[in-house]
Amino acid sequence: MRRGVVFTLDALVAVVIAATALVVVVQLLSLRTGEWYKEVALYNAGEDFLISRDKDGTLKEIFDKTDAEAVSTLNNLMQFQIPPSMVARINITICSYSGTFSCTRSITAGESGTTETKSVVRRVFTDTEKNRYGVAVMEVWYR
Amino acid sequence: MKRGFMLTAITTILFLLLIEVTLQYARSSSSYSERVSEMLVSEKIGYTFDDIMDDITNITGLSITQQEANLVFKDSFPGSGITDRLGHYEEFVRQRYLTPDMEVVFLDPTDQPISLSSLSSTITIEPFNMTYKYSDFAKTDLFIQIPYTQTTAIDFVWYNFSVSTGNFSEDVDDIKWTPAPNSCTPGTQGCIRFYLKVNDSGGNEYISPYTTFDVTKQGHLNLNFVSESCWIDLWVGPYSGEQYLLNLRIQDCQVRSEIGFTFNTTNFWLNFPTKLKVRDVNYNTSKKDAISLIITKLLK
Repeated sequence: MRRGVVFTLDALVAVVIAATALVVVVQLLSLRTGEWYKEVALYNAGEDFLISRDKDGTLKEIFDKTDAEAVSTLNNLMQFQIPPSMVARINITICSYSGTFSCTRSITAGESGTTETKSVVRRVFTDTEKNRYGVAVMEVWYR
Repeated sequence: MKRGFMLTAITTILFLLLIEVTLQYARSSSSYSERVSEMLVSEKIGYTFDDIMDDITNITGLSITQQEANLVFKDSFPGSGITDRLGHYEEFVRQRYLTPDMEVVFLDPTDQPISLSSLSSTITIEPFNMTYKYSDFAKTDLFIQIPYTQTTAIDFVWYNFSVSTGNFSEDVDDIKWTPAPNSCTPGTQGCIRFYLKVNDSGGNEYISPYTTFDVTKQGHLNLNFVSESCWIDLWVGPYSGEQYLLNLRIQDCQVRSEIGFTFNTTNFWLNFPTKLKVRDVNYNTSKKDAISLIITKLLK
């Protein structure tokens, strides 16, 4: 009878261990999948912003704006277009071509987030007739 | 002892079941997570593809709009350094835009890698095997051709172009086709309904009096402008052994051109010989498609 109890206890401990393992696995995996989903949502927000700003000519207009004007324009637009639950920062590098690329301007607008999950979206835009090229890099976080 | 044995056996089975459930969940969750991450990678690839395509469209200066059976090409002539600009753009994309995990390759029709400056300047409209092309991206000419047997697929063609570098050197009433296009019966093979309008920079407008032409007979219109070196030659029908819907030669003129085709079907599509392949190196996921410029599709 005692040996039976020992066996039973032993098996119960094994079940507890297995159940714990199940809980841990569920937690870890759902955490990982959740992070991916968050990243997709952040990416979509950044993508929408950059596509619309490229299509409406805002990015190209930056070639002819001062840094201060560009920052102000971008801050205003981000305020309206980035969802309130998110925060974004955009960095624009402007280059010109004359035999090689020379990148002399770097403009940063918006604010950085503090949460771990973020998405980075890039957009290239050009005014090739005037040999001007730009890359916008947007980072988006949840607040 | 028997009860103890039973309990032990049941608990052991339970243990094994839990382990199996854990493993199954881990497997399915992991593949689910993989699918979500692949979704993000696909999104990034598609986005990069469209971003590059958008810029290539702008550099070529050509935009195409389709609305049901109507297809409109808006173009500007001549092209200024388009081939060089395409080359510089590719260089910039590789140096500054692409991250190390993203790879971009331009491919010819046989899937051999080429540089973007070798982008083909021929667009094919299928199933008619009709072509819209230039000799090269210097765009001092435009050739539009369709096989004779397919001419009935076109209900009519309208062509408007405006020259911004000068006025007609003669009164519009004195502009004559030599030879004049051969008129024909619309709907018969080889007969094209064609409306031509040309504007100069002074607001003068020439409207061609010929509204049909037979593609087997040549028609030629020479337009001269006050600007000394600007002239335009336009042929319809045969020229140098080939048949054209339009054969346009432009010399030292700035031209904005808009040509529209109305087909007898909405079932047509455009083919561009050069392809673009964007690949995520880490996931080995890619998108390969024709550089179809941007075709704006309008609803009714």
